[in-house]
Amino acid sequence: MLKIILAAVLLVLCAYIGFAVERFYKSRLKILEEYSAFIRYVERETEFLKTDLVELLTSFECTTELRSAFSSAAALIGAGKPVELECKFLSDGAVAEIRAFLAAMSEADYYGKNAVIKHAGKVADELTAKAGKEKIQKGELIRKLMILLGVGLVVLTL
Amino acid sequence: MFRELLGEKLYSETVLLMSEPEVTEIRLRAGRNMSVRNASMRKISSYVVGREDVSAVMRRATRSSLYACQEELKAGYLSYSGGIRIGIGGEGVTESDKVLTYKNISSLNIRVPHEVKGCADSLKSILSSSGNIIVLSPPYGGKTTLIRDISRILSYVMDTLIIDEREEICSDSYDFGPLLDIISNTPKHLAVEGAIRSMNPEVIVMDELYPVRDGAVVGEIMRSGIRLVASAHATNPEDFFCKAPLLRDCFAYAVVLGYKPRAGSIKSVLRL
Repeated sequence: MLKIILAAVLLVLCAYIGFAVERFYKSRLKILEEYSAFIRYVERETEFLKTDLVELLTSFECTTELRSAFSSAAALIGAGKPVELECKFLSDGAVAEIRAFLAAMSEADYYGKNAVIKHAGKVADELTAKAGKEKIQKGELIRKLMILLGVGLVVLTL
Repeated sequence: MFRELLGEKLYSETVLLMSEPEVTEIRLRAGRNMSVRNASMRKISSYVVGREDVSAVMRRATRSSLYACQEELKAGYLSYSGGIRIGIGGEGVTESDKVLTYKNISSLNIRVPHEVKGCADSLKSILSSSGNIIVLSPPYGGKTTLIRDISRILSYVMDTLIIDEREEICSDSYDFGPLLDIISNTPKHLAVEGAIRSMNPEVIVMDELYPVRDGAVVGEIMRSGIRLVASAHATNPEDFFCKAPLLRDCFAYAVVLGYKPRAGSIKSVLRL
């Protein structure tokens, strides 16, 4: 009886880890997709309405962790402080790119902002494509492997 | 009002010199002592302003969005909330006789507006007539404060449209009557045509007329039969109208402001 319980616990644990890892990569992809949408929003809003960066960051509708990251960045930018950004789902490189975009926008004049937005859009597309691959190559693969591992452990335990 | 704009360090230096409600102007010049003015005097701080102080105020004034303030910057100023206007000194970037922007900004003149309710009460007799009014004074003479109060009085009795080119006259914190419309952050010549056609005001109020540039705007308002209250830089009507003889017939009254006993005092009201 104890063996069955142990096997069940191991299976659930492995499956849980597998799904958690997959969810991490899914979240990363979703955040980067929203970041790409944010850049298109910035392009539209700054071109026609010259909306300032603080308002852009606070008014952009997003559902992911990007919202809290943008809110804290907006508070810093509004106070004239250097841009800081944290997001546990993103790689350091991606966080650095988003931070660099916001910092460049905060210093760009009207004539220079389009180049900044264009570059950021290109980088965001690359990051999103990479995250899409990682979701399949790492997230889904790890989930499957963890479930297999769980099944293997069940077999070994029993 | 300006605490957020200045940051804690500069704010504490300012209030060391005079209390916050008194302050009308703060000057930050990189490498020089900060100076502060109220309506009657100037005080110089021992604090030497650094380039970083100027940059930090610029970042806060533009909300770190220089691109959104390009047109203002080209005109040499920035608007900040509460009607604060920041004049800019630095290195101009020009092309084909036009200023594109300013860089290496080294001086800021932060002008803090004040609502002085009732300062135009003594003008009620000319406000109730139908003549156009021009308010004249040298810079820092209280023109904007006076036309803000004129707008307040007029906006209780007639449809009043303020063309607030530099967002100095109006702010959420000021008290106006129910009949007020505002067009802000738009050059006068761009605002007037649409305003006359669609807003149907009985009186238009505008700040800082420049005779050469704004003559056509005044002419357009005259043609449409709308009353005008405007202000301009000049020490007396003769100085102003010698530069703009065509405008002489446009105004019925000139209100001249002086610095004594304090800035914004009405020196004379002349029938033109």
